[in-house]
Amino acid sequence: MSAEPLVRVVDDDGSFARSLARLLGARGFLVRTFSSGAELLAELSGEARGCVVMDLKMPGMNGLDLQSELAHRGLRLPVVFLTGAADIPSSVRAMRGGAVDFLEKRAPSEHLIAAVERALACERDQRNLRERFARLTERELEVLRHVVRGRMNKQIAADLGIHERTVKLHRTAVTAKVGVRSVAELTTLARDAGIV
Amino acid sequence: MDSTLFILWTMVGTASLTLALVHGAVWLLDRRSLAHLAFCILAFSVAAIARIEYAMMRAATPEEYAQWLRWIHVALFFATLGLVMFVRVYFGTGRAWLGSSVIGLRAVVTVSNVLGPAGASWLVTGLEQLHLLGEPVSASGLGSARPLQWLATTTAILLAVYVLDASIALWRESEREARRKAVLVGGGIVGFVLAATIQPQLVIWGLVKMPIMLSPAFLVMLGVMTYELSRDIVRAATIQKEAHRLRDELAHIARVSTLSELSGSLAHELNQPLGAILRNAEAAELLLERPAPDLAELRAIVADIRADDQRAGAIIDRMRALLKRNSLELHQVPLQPLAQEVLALVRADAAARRVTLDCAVPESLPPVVADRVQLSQVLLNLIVNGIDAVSESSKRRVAIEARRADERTVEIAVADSGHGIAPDMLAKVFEPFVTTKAKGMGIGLAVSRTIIEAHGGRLWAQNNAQAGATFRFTLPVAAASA
Repeated sequence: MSAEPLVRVVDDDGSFARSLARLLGARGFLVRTFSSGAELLAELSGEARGCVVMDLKMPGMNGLDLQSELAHRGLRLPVVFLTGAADIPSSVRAMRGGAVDFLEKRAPSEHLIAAVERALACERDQRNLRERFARLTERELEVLRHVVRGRMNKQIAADLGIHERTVKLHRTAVTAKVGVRSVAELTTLARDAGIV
Repeated sequence: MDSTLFILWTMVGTASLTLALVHGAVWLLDRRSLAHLAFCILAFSVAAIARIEYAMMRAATPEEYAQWLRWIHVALFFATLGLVMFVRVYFGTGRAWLGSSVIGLRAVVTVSNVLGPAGASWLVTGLEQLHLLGEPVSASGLGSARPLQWLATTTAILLAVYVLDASIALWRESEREARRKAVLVGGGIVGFVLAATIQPQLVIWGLVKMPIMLSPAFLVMLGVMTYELSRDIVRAATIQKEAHRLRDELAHIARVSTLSELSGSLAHELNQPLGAILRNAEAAELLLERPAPDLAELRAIVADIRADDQRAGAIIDRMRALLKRNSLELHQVPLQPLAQEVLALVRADAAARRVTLDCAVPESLPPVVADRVQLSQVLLNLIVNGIDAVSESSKRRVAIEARRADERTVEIAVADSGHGIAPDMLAKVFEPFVTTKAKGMGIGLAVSRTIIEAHGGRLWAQNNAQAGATFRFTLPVAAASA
């Protein structure tokens, strides 16, 4: 639960994990290595910041298992996959699972650094976004869920049993707090933040 | 009295005896080579005939001559037996009824001559001195053929017919080697049988006056036969050499095919140290750009690079060792390190397919006599098969176990927790080109069995009581530790 975003390198091969940690460390990232998915899961909490760079093939829980386990636990850390030899089925599965990137272990370091940076940026944006939505009240969130489904103010008012003007007030508050100008933008962001 | 006759007949006798001993030894070494046994019987008989013939030529009285005559029938019986048997097993043709008739009739003639009154088929009442090679020899002067002699003559003719018939049948097979045999051996035997039959018949029926001389002609025939048999031995050795070469070649192909199945995980395994080396080098470059590089860290990086290089090298060495073409070279091989090396090759593949590999090969086991590469290949093949067998199962486990079966044998088992083998396939899985895999060639197990058998061991499969199948093989323990 550090304030700084942390790059978590997960690889059963200690030497590789160490070398990657050195490279990323030399590039100014804060890095920690883990030798298995279980070890990572034991350390993580909902407040964790940063990203995960992990080996696809590991004994026991492999990379894809770890990815779904993270999602299952609601840990929204972006994942960069590394593999000794890429194969199409696992890369498809990894990207579908929301991986930021899927790289070979010996990919050029710029690609690797860029992927880690992208993962961190992605996590930062997500966090920002969630923080923006976190300011909403329960009622505002309720209204928001209806709005993004494309419902009219009148319908929302009827469903929630409130006055149409109150709905309008909630909507204005939502757009102001999240900082968006259109319903379309609001819908996209709400989806990205995982609100709806 | 060292006469020419004595020398000649002694030579015939000893030459036959030598041939008999040589081919007898061949038969003792390989009990299936019945042609050699038949030849041995025949050659012994010829040696005996030579000895008896010489005694007859030197006989002083008709009684002595007749006495030897009894014994020559015994030798002739065995000569006939050897000849009929030889043609039968060596040509693979020849009518059984004709052959047994010849032996049966010959037996009647022999028994009558040995047990009956002297001269049952040919009564010799007086001797005549003739000259042969400038020496006086005894030959029958006054003799008369008895009715039984007709049977003996018929037997000799039947024998010639039997051999001729067998040779013609062999010739009809129209294979080059068979035809050669038919002409040379068949022709030789027929020629001899005719010569050896006609000469005594002429003497016995009183048409020519000379001693009975079977053995020199017999020796010529033995020469032809032994030439052929030796040729076969040489040919068999060449064929066996070729078979060994093909076996090694096939083993190599099977290894390449097994390794190619593993190539994906081997690339992964190799990229691991190579990737670490690359990242370490990049990190070092960055560190060196700093005004005051952390030397301790740089040293650690260099040490890691060195260790990873060795790791990559070891992977390549293991693969190269298996890809190498080699012929069977037997050494004392400790099982435990070899099992570890093989496991290192499949570990990545097993991990990727989430298969647990258990290895219980005690270090205390004595070394076995084996070819390192080929033994690794068998183990690798069985483990890869095991991994394939369990990759669809809920329980994914492949266990390697080795134990001492008895004083001279170690047994190695590779057990999987898959679906097992259908009972009707248990024996078939070892046949070449039988496979249950989509991409398999179906030679792995066939080659593995050949390899283990070449080591003097056995490889078999059985289904487990619970789930899956177990492949077991045995290997001989190295002599020093037995």
